[in-house]
Amino acid sequence: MSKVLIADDTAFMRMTLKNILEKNGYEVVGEAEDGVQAIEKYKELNPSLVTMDITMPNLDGIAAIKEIVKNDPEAKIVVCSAMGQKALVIEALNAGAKDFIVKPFQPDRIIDSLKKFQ
Amino acid sequence: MSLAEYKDIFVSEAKEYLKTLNNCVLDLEKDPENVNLVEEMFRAAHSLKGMAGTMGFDQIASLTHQMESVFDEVRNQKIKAEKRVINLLFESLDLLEKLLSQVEEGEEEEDVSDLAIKLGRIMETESGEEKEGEEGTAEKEEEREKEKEEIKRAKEKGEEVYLVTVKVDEECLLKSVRAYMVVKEVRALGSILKSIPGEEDLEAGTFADSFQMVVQTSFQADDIKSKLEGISEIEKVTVEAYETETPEPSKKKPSLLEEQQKELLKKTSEKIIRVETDKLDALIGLVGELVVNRTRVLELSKNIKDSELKNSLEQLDLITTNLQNAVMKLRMVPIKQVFDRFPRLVRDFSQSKSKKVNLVIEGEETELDRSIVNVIGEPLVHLVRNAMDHGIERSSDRKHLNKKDLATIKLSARHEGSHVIIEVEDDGCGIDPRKIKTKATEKGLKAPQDLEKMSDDEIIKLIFHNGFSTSEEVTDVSGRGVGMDAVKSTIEALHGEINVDTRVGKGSRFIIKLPLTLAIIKAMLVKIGGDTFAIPVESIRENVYVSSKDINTVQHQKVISFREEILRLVSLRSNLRLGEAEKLSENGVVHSVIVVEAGDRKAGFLVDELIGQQEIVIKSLGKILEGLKGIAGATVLANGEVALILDVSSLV
Repeated sequence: MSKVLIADDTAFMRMTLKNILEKNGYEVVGEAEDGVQAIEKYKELNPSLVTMDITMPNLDGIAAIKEIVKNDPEAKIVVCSAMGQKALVIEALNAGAKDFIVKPFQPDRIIDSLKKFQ
Repeated sequence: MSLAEYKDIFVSEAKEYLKTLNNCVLDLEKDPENVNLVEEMFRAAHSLKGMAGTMGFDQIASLTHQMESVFDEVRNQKIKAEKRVINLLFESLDLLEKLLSQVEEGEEEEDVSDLAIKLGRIMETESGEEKEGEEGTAEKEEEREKEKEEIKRAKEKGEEVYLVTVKVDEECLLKSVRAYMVVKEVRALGSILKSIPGEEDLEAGTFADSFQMVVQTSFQADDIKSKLEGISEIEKVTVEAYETETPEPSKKKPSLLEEQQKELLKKTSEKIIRVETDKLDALIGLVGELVVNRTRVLELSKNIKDSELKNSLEQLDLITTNLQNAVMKLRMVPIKQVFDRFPRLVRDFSQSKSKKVNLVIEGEETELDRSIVNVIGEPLVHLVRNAMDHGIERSSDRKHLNKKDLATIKLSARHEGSHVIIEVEDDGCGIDPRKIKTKATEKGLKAPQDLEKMSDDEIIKLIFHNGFSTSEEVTDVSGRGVGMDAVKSTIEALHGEINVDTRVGKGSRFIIKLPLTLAIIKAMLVKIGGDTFAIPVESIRENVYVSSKDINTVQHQKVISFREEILRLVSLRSNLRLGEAEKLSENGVVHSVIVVEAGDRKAGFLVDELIGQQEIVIKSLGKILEGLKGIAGATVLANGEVALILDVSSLV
C-alpha cells in the first residue's frame, strides 16, 4: 500500500484529500500544515508519495519541494494548485515535482495521477 | 466642467463608429482586397481610441488601439483579411459594444486583455508565417530544404525524426502546463525541431486539445509514446516517421488544429445563428400585438353566425397560440446560467468557515425568461449565503446534534404550470419563531402584544421585514440581515412571490414562484377617471361591488370588511391624480372594488368600471417616464388605445 504525506495549510483540503485517498486504498501516514512540517515529516515518515499545496505559511510548497528533492532526488511529489497558478505550477515542476492536480479536486483525476507512480 | 457631462455624446458617437466598423467588417469579409474599407476602419478605430483615451475609458482605448494596429497591417498588406481575422474583429466589436453599455450604465469596464492578446498574436503569426501567398513559396522551399538537411544529418548520427501528435484530455484544467510537461519530457529524449502550434501558443494553452511536434531523437517511437502517455491527463500520443517530401505548398494538408477549428466552426454555425436582441424583441412585440388582435377578432366574431368564418378563425386562433409559444421560447434561457456561479460560491465558503457544505443542484436546464434570469441571480446568492451563514450550523454543533457532518444545500428549479419554482433548501437549524419574536421586539418591529396574537407562520414572515437578522454574529458573508426584504421586493417586482417553509432543527426551504415570462401577461382592464388602465391578473384576488353604507373609516382610512378581514380601500383617482376622489360617503352608490394582493399585503382598488380580461404586451415607458410611481409600463390595446399598467405592489 502506498504511504502518502499530505501537505496543505487548510484542514478542509487535507481532509478532503485524505478521504479521497483512503477510499482508494492509499494510506495517509502524515499531514503537514506548512512547508517546514512537510520537510520534517518527509524525513521522519519516508512516504512513497507527497501531495504538496503551493501556497502555505512559513515555507511555501515550492521551497519545500526543492528541499525534499535535494535530500531525495527520487521523491514523488504531486503539486496541488488552484486554477490560474500556471506559473507557480511550472516552477514547482522545475523544482522537481512529478505531476500536478488542480483544485477543486476531482477524485478520479487525483487517483489517475497518483496511480502513475506505482 | 467635468468629462462626465460628455459621456452621453461620447456614447452616442462611439456607437456610430461601432456601426461603421461593423458594416465595414461585413463588407470586408465579402471583399477582402478593398483598401478603401480598411482605410475607413482604420480611421474609425483611431477616432474611437482617441475619444476613449480622453474620457479615461482605458479598456476601450486599449482594444481599439489593438484593432487599429490590425487594420494598419491589413492596409500595408502585411496580413490578409481572412476568416480568422474577420472573426476576431467581430469578436472585438461585440466586446466594444459591451464595454460601451458598461460605460453607459456607469459600470466598470471589463478587462479586454484576452482579446487584445489574440489580436496581437494574429499580427505576429500572420506576418511571420503565412506569407506563402506570393513571395512565401521561396521561403517555404528554403525551409523545407533546411529540414531535409536536418533529417539527413540526424540519420547520419543514427537518430530518427518523428512527428509526435499529443492529445490532451479535454477536461484538463491547465492544458498549457500539461503541454509544458510534454515538451520537457520530449526535450529529455531529444530535440524539438518544430511544433504546431508554435511554442508560445503551447505555453499559453491556446490550442484545441491536440498539438504536434517534430522531434529528433535516438529513442524508439514506442519509447517516446510510453514516456509521454505516462503523463497525467494525456489522452493519446501517436508517434510516426516524419516526412518532408510529400506536402506541396498548394496541396498543403491542413494541420490537425486547423481542421479541428473548422469543424468546430461548422458545428456551431449550423445550429446557431446570431440575432440582435433588438430584432428579437421587435418580433416578440409584433407577435404580442397579433395575440391581442386575435383576441379582439374572436370577440367580434361571436356575433356573426357563419360556420366557415368560425372554422377559419379557430384555425387562426390555434396558429397564433402556437406562434406565441414558439416566440416565447426564443426568450427563454436555461437557469443554468444563474446556477453556475453557486458551486464556486459554496466551495469558497466551505473553505473559509468551519462548515462543510455539499451543494446539490437540480433542474438547471429549466428555462425561463431572459429578463428574469438577468435579475434573479442576486436574490438567489443572498438566499444561499444566508443558508450557509445562518442556516447551517458549525461542524462541531452538527456533531452535537447528531447530524451528518456534511451539510447539504439544495438549489432546484422546475416548471409548474405557467410558473417556475425555484427552491433553496438547507438542512441547517431552521428558523426559530421564538428568536424572531425576541428580535422583532428588540427592533421594535412589532409590539409584544401583537406578536402574541400572531401564528408561527406569520412570525417567520417577519424575516422579510426591513433590517432583520437573527444570526448572533455579523459576518462578512451575509452581513447584517439587510437583504431579505430586498430579496422579497426584487421577486415581487418580477410578479413573483417568495415563501418559506422551515422546521426548527431540521432546516429551511425558501420557495420562489416566478412567472415564465414578463412579455405578455393577462390583465384586467379597468376605467378610472375616463382612462383605461391594466391590472395584472396575477395580483388580483377578487372583484367585488361595495355599497357606500358598507364603507367605514378607521384612523382616517376608508376600509371595508371583506371575508372577515379589514381591507383598506385605495382611491386610484387620488393616488394617480386623475381628478376628484370618489365620494364614498354618498348614500346608495355602489362602487367597483378590485381586491389585489402584493406579497402579504392586500388592498381594495376603487375603479369606475371593469372592462374585462385581455392578454397584453408589456412595453416599457422609456427613459423619461421611468420610475413613475404606481405605473409599471404601458400597452397598446386592440383598438389602438394606450393603457397604462398599474404597478400593484407600489400602490397597495
